[in-house]
Amino acid sequence: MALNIRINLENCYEFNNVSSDLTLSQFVSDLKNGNSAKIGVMIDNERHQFLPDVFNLSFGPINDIGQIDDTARLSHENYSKVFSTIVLASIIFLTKNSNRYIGIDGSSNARAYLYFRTIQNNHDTLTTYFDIYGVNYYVRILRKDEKDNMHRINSNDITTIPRAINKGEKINLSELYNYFIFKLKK
Amino acid sequence: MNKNVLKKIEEIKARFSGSGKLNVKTTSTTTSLSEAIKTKKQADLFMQRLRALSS
Repeated sequence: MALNIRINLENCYEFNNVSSDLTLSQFVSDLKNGNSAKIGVMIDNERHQFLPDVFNLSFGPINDIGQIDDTARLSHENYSKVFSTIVLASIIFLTKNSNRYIGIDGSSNARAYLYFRTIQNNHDTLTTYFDIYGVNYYVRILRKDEKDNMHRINSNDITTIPRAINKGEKINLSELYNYFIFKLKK
Repeated sequence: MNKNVLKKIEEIKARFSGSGKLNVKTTSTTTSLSEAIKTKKQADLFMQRLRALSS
């Protein structure tokens, strides 16, 4: 997966469908193999049991039975355009729901690192629109071991707090946030 | 917000304002926050800190 993603909200794919509540957006991405994929961006529309202001965002190709597979691996022709479109979908949702936070789960080290690098590489652009936070106690408690698929829980990390992600912030892989929270600036 | 982006957002919202709910679900493996936060007290503390950061 590319790491040199550049967010440019003036170079996005056209949405071919958006739900009227703005929680689901669809667009078509060109793939490197010459095919295309229908991509869905979904924001949970149910309030979380404990964190009512954070709504999870997932994205991925929409399969034949109408499900977004956020574990799929695709080779996009233009990752910057794909991620810019996802960011645009987030902003559209938050313009209507300004009291909410959107959360993105880096469900593996690779994804978390991709999101962190993308945030850092586009910090000036993204912070024009968002306040951005990283949460790592979420990760430490919940990340599954890729070998035995068991949850790892370190009770010493439970009180770790969400932190604003600052430009140029360096972080060790072992301390990398796995959950990223975005709030639209007022 | 960039004027072009703002205009684009408003156009998209207007274009799809009557689209209703789309029949798509997610197979997301995202772990529930409720599993991370074992007690309501910790959840409240989390949101208190998050709000303090963004205020």
